[in-house]
Order: sequence, then structure tokens, then C-alpha cells
Amino acid sequence: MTTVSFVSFDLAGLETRLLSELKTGFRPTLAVIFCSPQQAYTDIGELFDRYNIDLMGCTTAGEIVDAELHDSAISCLLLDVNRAYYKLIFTKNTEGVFQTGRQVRREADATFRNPALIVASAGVTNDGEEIVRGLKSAAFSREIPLFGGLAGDDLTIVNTYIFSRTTITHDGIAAIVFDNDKIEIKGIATSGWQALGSSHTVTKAQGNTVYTINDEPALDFFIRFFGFHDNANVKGKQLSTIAAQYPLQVIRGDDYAVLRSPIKGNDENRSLMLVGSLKVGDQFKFSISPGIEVIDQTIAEVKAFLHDTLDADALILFSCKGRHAALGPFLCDEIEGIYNHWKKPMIGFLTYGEIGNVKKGICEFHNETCSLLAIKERN
Amino acid sequence: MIESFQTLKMLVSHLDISLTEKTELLRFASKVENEQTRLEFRHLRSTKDRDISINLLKETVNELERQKNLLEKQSQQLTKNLHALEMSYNEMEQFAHIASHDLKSPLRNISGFSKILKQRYRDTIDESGKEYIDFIVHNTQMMTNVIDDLLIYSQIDHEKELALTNFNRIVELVSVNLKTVITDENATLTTDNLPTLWAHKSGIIRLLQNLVENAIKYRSEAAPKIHISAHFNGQDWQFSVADNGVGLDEVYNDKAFQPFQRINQRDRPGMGMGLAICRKVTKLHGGNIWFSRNLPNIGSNTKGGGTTFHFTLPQISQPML
Repeated sequence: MTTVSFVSFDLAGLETRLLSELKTGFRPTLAVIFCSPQQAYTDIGELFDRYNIDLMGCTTAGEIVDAELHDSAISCLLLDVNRAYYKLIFTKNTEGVFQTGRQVRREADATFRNPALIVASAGVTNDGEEIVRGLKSAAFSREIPLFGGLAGDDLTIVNTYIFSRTTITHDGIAAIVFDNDKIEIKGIATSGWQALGSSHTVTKAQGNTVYTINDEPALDFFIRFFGFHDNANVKGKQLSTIAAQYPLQVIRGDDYAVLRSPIKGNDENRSLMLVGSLKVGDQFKFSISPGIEVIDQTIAEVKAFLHDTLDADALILFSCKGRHAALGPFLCDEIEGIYNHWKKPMIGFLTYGEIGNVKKGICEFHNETCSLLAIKERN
Repeated sequence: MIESFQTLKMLVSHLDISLTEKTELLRFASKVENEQTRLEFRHLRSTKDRDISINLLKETVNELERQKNLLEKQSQQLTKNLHALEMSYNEMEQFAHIASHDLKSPLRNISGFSKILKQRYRDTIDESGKEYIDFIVHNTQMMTNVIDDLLIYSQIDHEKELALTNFNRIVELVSVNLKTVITDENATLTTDNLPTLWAHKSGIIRLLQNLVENAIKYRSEAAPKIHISAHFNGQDWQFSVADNGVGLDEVYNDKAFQPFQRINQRDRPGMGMGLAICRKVTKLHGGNIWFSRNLPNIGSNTKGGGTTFHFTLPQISQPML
């Protein structure tokens, strides 16, 4: 399979580059586009439709192409993959995100015996945990390679979009389901964030809103632990300036945790809204970003896990926007380090939440992680 | 800082040098600017991380302190409750012991004087009167048995010392103690080779004697056969006392071990304290007791197939003497 990745800074540039690729005789069947909402994302579908190229795309909070991170750009990956080896699914949320996820998974299971999914989800207030629960709700709860991210909107937190050749929506899921017997999808989600202190228990919660922790109002609890307890006028919204860098580590088993970033505090009922849901009885620890060296740790971890994918045809990287806030300009080192190890066409974007399998193969919804997947046509 | 770099870049662009030199200088300035940005970010991050880490740790210590205080309070309350429980338990034991002693003496008198009454006035008391006196004597005997059982029950945990106990020897003692009944009932008592363990010796004698006695008492039509075996299950020694008696339904596994509970066969002698005493002895050792119903032998015309009582005793290493 031939793949090409490139960046463009406007729609015209995107078409120019596409034409120049076509002139070389390259005939892509599928395009993956991650696009800043500042670009003309509504017109991208029509462009690819004109050239009969299937498309899965979404808006972002930062675009990755090969070794570089861009702002306000369009990242594009073209693949000349056999159309029999994949199917595009585009579903709007009509009955809630769980049902949408479930519908996508059912279609994937009905299409291929061994499906692998790459998904993008739109809807800024949607519960990522519920999406993943829906995507995993297959018969016998079989785990499959399942990677993706929640679309972004350059941190305006108003509307995020997913699009295809013919459709666009601000509330739904776009997915590519690959025949994993033909196209191998392998990846890992990893964070490097370290847990700190003792564990705490969620004592009242509904969906992605936590009302009490250890029987104390969740917002007050969080603020107290982060050192604002001397300021009586602290507002929930101030939380967003720090919370993304210090996510909650929700204990899932003996040896792993998933990260959950608080995104909003409610000043009236003192609750805390997270990107993914928590339930009563969940235990978590606070975390502290372990310093810039987390980058080396992440690169080492993805290299080790994906050591047998050096001959991948392409890579897709879903990296959390919160990670960008925590690592600042150093995030570019992480992207560069990953790209330089494979030196294969790679695109990605800064997300509002990541989906990916952890080491044990279990797919989870994450925050603050780097979820990398390698795509390779099997011989 | 950015402003100063912009100034620097502007200065470079006005310098009277070649374009190549200007480009080189501007590239260098950009590199320095980039490095400066990274350093500033790292400094800010480190400062913020440090402040938040200190606070997180401080709050964690406070939280642990709160939990420690709570635990201490709970522990104090627990000690208090335990003390009260110990006191009321001791009082109860003492009460049972004294009451039993004090009851036995008047009972003996009632029984004794009833017998004298029957003897001395045998010519003046009619048959009904004699029957009433027999009834009084019989019931005082029953009450004496209850008191004796209660005394044994309350004294089981008075034996504080553990002794190295050879269970083969204990079974021999039980055989001697029950010699009459074993002979009368034509019973057979067999054992595997049994272990020697640290245990409360007199309690163990009582335990095995009660189980063997029960096996004979609840015999079927066939001559009683009782077999005692033991095996180590990796954690405890599990003993089994199997009989070929009438068999006891397993639904009574809890009720049968409660004091004064008689499950069936009310025509057989006994006050229903035997198994309660057995349970108290095993609990005293930190073990358990239960029973299972044996499968009937094929072709056997006996009901049930008998019962096997199991009890566990932990393997205790030599206690500090």
C-alpha cells in the first residue's frame, strides 16, 4: 500500500498538493484529514468527492504531520488501499452516544470477521466513556484494535465536526473499519503521568459529572487539593487553567489506571465535569506531570510495544490537547521522536480525548495520553 | 522577550551585511528565541509543578492524619466494646457456673427426699402418688443432666494451656470411657493413624467422645460402625467421624450445633448439648465443625447410610510456654 502525508495551510493548497500527487500516477482511494476549524472544513468533502476519494475527517485543536505540529492547518494522509478492505461509517447521534457507538460496532462486526476501527467523534459535551462503551458493546465483549479521538475546535469549546465526502455533523461518529485480516492495525495508548498521594472515592456521580468525592463537594475537594483553599472567591472556571495538566488517575485494575481531566467546575452545585464519566465507588489518585522526561518515556514505550511495526505503511497519532498544555513546546520533541523512529507517513491531531487499547489489549477512553497506531497491509 | 527578539531581528535586517550573513544571523536568532521559549516554559512548569506537588502532598498528609485520628477513635471504641463484651461474657460464664452449682444441691435434696418419701410411706401412698414421685425423681434427674451439660459447656474455655495431644491415644481413652455402651450396642470403633497436635486435651476428649456417643445413640438397625480419620488439607487438619447410623439431614447443619437443639429422634436420650459442646471446642481451637450425610450403601436396607462429622483444627506450632 502506498501512502502519502502532507500539510496544507488552505483549501487551495490542499487541492494543489492532491493534484500533484495524482500527476505522479498515485491513485489514492482513501483520505484521512485532520483540520483546524479555522480552515474551510465544510468544503473539504466536496473536494475529495470530485476526485472519487473516500474521506474521513474531523476538526482539531492542533495538527500533526510527520515530525511537526502545526496550528490552523490541514493534515492529510492519502492511502491507495483496496476498497474491499475497508468501509466508512458515518453516524449522527440521535439516540445518545452509547447507541451511536453500538451502531458503529455492529456495522463493523457485520462487515468483517476481524474488524479494526479508527474513529473520530464530534460533540464537545459528549461523554467519551459512553462512546467507548458503545463501541465495545459487541457480542461476547470481544476486544478489537480500536483507536481514535474526540474532535477539537482550537479550544473554543463550542462545536467540533466530523465529515466525509458527502456529510458533515457536529454530533456523531465517523469511522473507518478495516478488515484486520488484510490491513493490520496495531497501536497503544500511553500517558506517562504519575500518581501522587492516597486514593479517594467518588461518592456521588452521574455520567461525566461528579458531585461528591469522599462525601465532600467535588469542586471544593479538587480546589482544596490544588491549593486554592485560601481564596474564597475561587470560581469553577479557573479550574480549566490547571486541571488538564493534573488529571485524575482512575484505578481500573491492579496495574493500570485511566486518566480523566476535569474540564469545568459548577460554582452553584459545586460539582465537577470531566471529559469521561465516573461512577460511584470509582477510586482515583491525583497525578502530577512527571516532568519533561515523560516524552522519552512515552517514546520508549511506544517503540517497545510497536517494535514489530517498523515496516508500517502509515501512522496515526492522537495526542491530547491537555498534553500540549502540560508539555508546551516540548510536545514537538515527542512527535519528532516518534516520527524519526518509523520515518513513515504520519498524521495526527490534538484531541479532546483519546481512544486506544492499553498494553493488555483492553480499549479505554483516555485523557492526557498519546494514542499511536500503525497501519500496515498484510502480505 | 519576544519584543526584544523582534527588535534584534529588525536590527539584523538593517545591517550592512550580505543576505547570506543576514539569513544566518536571523536563523541563529530564531534558534535562540526558540530555546528561550523552551527554557521559560520549563521554568514556569517546574514552578507550578512544585507548588502543586507541595500542596497535594500537604493535603495528602492532612488526609492521612484525619484518617489516622478516625482510626484511633474507632480503635478506642472497639477496645471499649471488647472490654465490655469480655466483662459481660465473664459475668455470664460465672453466673452459669454458680447457678449450676447452686441449683444442683437443692435438686439433689428434692430427688433424695422424694425417694425417702416413696420408701417410708409406701404403705400409705396409693399407686398414683408413687407414680407422681417417680415423675419428680425422673425430672430432677433430667434437670441435673441439663445442669451438668451447662457446667461442661461453660468450662470448656477454662482450659488455657495447649498440650501436645496424640489423637490415637485420645481415641483409646474415649473407647475406655464408653466401654459399656460400646459393648452393649455391639459397636465397632476404628481409626486411621491420627496425628499428634498442640491442642486443649480435655476439650478434644469431650469432642471425640460426644461424636462417638452420638454415632451410637443415633444408630440404625445395623450394629454401629464408627471410623475416625484425619488428613492435612494444606492449612488445617481435617478430622472425620463417619458412622452408619440413621443419618442427619444436612439442612440442619447450623441448628444442630446450637445449645439444646434436638433435631429428631426425641425418643433417644440426651439434652441437645453434645454438638454445641463440640462446636465450642473446635471454635476454641480456631477450627470449624459440620456434617455431611453419607450415601446409602447399594443394596442396604438401612435408612440414610449414616453421617460423617468433620471438624478442622489448625496446625499450631509449639506455643510459647
